[in-house]
Amino acid sequence: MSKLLLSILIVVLILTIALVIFDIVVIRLKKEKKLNYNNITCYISNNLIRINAFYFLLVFIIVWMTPLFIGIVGSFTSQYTFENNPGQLIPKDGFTFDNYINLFNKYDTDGTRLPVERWVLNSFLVSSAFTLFYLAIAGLAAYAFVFLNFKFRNILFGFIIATMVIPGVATLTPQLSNIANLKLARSLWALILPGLGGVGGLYLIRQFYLGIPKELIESARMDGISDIKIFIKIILPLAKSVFLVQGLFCFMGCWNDLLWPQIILGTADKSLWTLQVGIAYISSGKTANAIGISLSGSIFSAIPIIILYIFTQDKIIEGVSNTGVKG
Amino acid sequence: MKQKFKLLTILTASIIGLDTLFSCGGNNGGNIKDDLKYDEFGDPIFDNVKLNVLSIVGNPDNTYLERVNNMFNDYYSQNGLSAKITSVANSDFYTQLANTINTDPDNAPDVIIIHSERVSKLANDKIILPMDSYFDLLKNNKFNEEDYFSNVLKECKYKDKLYGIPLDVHSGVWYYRKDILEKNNIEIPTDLNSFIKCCNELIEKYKAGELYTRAMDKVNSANCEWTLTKDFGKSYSPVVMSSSGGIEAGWIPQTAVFQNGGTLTDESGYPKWNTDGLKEIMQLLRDFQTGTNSLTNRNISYEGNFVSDDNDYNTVWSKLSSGEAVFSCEGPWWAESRLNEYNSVLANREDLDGNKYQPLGILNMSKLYTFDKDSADSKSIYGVGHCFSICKTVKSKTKLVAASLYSKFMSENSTDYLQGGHLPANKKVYNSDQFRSKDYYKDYVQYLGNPEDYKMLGNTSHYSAVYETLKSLYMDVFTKSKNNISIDQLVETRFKEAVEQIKSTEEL
Amino acid sequence: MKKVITLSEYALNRSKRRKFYKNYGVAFFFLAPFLFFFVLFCLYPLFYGIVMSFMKYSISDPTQNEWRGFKNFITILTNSNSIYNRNFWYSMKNTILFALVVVPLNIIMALVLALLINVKPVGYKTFRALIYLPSVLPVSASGVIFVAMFGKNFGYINQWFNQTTDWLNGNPLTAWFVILLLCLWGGFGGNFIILSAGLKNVDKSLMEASSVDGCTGVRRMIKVVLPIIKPQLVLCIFTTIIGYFGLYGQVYVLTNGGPNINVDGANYNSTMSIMWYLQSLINGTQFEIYGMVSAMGLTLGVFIGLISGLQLFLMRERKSGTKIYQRFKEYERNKVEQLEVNKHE
Repeated sequence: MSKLLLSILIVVLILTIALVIFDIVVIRLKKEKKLNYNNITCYISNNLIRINAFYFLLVFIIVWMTPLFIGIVGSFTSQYTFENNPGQLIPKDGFTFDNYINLFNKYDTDGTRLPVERWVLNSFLVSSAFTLFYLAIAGLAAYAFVFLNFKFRNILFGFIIATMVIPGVATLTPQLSNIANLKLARSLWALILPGLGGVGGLYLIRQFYLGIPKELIESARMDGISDIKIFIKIILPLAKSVFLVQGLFCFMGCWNDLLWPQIILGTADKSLWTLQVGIAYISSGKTANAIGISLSGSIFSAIPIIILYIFTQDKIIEGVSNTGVKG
Repeated sequence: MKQKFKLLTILTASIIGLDTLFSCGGNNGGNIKDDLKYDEFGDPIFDNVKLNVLSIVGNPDNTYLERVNNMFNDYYSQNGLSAKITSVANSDFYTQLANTINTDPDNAPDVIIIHSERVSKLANDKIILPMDSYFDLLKNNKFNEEDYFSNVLKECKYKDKLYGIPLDVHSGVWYYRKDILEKNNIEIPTDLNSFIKCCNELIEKYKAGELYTRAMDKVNSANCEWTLTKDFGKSYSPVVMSSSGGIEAGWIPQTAVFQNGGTLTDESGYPKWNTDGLKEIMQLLRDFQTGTNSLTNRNISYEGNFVSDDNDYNTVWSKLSSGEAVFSCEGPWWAESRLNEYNSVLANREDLDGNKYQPLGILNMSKLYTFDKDSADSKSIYGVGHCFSICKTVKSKTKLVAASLYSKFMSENSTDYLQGGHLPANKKVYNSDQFRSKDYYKDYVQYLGNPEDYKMLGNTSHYSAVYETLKSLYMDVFTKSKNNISIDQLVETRFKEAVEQIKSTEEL
Repeated sequence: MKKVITLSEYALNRSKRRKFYKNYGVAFFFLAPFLFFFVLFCLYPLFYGIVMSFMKYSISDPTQNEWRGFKNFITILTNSNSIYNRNFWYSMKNTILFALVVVPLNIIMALVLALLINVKPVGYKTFRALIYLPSVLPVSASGVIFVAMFGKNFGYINQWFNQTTDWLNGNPLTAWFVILLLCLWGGFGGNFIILSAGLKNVDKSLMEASSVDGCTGVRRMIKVVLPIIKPQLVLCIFTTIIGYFGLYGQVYVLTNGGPNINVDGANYNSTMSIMWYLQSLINGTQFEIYGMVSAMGLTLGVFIGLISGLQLFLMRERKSGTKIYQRFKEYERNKVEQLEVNKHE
């Protein structure tokens, strides 16, 4: 294996040197104006920087995707290989679905099967419910902060933003007893409701609203349209993109969350768990005889996110670049 | 207007906050509902009482515990009493427990099955209730201390009150390749000297190329044939001591400390384990790993490393089955399945002379590490036990009595549970014919030693500071990268850590 | 005496009142759901936490709860005999040192890649999507992948290079190194996107002008491009720093605070970050420590607040960035005009 690696390294090195030499030659030829201007050379000399960028990006992407590639390949590698002949990208005994099959047939220490499909369902329920509720609530609140005039509006908003500074851990214990007092502990509502008071998304949506010309709203008001109608008829269509982006962030954040569900759902009733909690439980053994199933669990839990990302990556990237919020 | 409303909400919130902050203090003791009634025989009447039991016992033991629980349900179902066990064998059991009891008492368990060494801490934290008074209410079913091994029962007491009914006691055991020892004519060790002699002989034979080994291989039966000195790579070490195999749980080092008369805490529960005796034992265990004798006043010689460096979770069983190691330490709950496995593969295999060998043996640690074979402590085995305790969230007297009854019943009828490789805490069970005649007793439980020799940690309310640092010390001693740090230094830093932890907590 | 109110006065008052109610009623309608959850799940726990930080607070035995005034804070800030003080500052030191190493790496990598993407080579959209992809993966998943890569006996890296290094549990430095790799792999995508968005603002002609010149372009890059994307840079640097104060998942998944090596004679968990430390206290078995944990969280909050304040202060100069950009554009325009004038002459 290390020979293969070495040869890949050498090939990359040679290619890089070749490219640098090529660059130097082209630049010098260009300076000395010795280039024959046919189509190809013209293209090369005009796009030299692009060719270089392409090459370096390609190399980088290959390196960058290696962990993900290893993760996927590893999840199809048998337990036997991990224990006896580790380190093979293409295992001698071939690829196998065993890890995934075992994931769905994994038995707990007390002999009950771990309800993986239930975890998937829970995760979907919680993530979608949270996303919908939050968008509705934060969308309305952001409207008030941008388009409605009332006393202390900006002070109130500043105060809300300022609370973001305190890390969640500081308020974890009070939050726990708060949830328990509300009789929400050990229920999926405990994963949905606390996040609805979140400030980050409100900030993002408000930033977007600020870009909407106020005259539009004013003129609509002049026409006697109520604020609620304005919100539904004008703001919602305009802010579709920011809602989509914030929705994706909400969904992904909720789907990927581990710490809070781990604490609030407890260990007694495993059918309440979300997928991340369950996968963390399955993959807590970091030993050779557990790594295959851990990998399959990890990849499995990431699949919905990856699919979502593939279909919406344009919007997500646009959203991040427009607002500077990283999800 | 808006602002007023907001101020109001903040104010209300703060009032609620302060309220809940202090009102929790009220639900501690005192307000237990007196709803206990007796029938004409003087037995309490249970009207559909369901006990919720949270247990740290995991599988395979939990299956056996369920059997005892079913017995209880069969016996008491017509009296309207039943119990259901939920097993949570997680490391964060105790944190979850405290969280549940204090933030979500409705979902809290009634009875918990916990490690008895934690009783003082939990009692001090007011998570569990003293049980004595509830046994007094069981007029026909009183609790008799004499029925229990006093060393095990002591662990369940805090400030002279009974906080738990002990269920069992157990320790790690050496699983050893009986066949390899017998085939090579090496004596099975019974004390420290013979243990060292045994290891030295194995290493000598390996070096001379005279060591017979065979593997336990379910897939490839060719590996199960006896071979003369297979090449085991860089060096041969007959003992596996991995962190999961006896070090982290403290079985080996703690037993060694006890056998040489070590004490761990003083009367008030502060750590007192930075003794010369402990340091000497730590040096001995490190010497096992380095293969050189640093204890100049003891006459010990090493032919090589008894314990190899790269011991991790996997090697506990894999080295034993390949025949590379002869001794490996693990929990007794493995006994049943491992004995079955080894016997089914190897027990009927004949060597060239037609002899059969029993492949796997079990050795308890009594006398194995003592420098003084005749001392009173030499037979000590460091033991851990489980016990039943009642959570403070139980508010009805009937339920409290039911929980006490349950604990007592489970402990007195624990015969089925002991199949998992435990010794009973109850003397009657230990001496009963029912227990002695079981197959599992003959197969492995009899080798676990006498419960009277088991020595428990000794309770302290500073459980984590005293013992978790001690266990970390054991890990340090066995960590290869720390081999250049002297034992004195390791002990003193960990001891300082323990003391400072207690001081800082007391200053809170 | 009856006060005489004219109809018009009444109408005015009424309309005023109605307007008031309408105005505030609408605001209330829009804000109420959010404020309800905000007060209940953000403000109230925060307030409760502040109260707790002035107490000795036990979750198991509320009778132990007592007011302690500023004692918790004094312990954290001054009493070096207390392990809470030492562990707090040790984990803070770890976190800050880590941030000092990882933030420049993160930003430089993001910037270089953003520059490469910005020249729009073939398939740049795919590249962009792939670079950001690891950032959306759950940390628990990417963590397991890194464990599979850097595990001692079964890890791909050790096998490929014939090593037996115990990356995660042997040496604090190698453990931090793997944490750093995971942080970069799953963490710099956001910065990359923000910076490449910032680079879009840079005029194409300017970019080409500076790039065609080759070597001298690098210097011009620093002098021209950086000032233009300064707002984005400041944003990235500070959000990344603040982000690393919350470093938890990576440590939890990879090392869980280990290797357990006493580095400075006082602390064992050598990859302990501040978040991991607070988390371990909360998940530990010391039930009377919650007041102290709250005090630590608030102290950390003050730190983060100071950094955020610095960020806001620097962001105020956003205008100067655009100013340079605008000045450059003017200069460019002038130059072109000049050229054209020259041509005509």
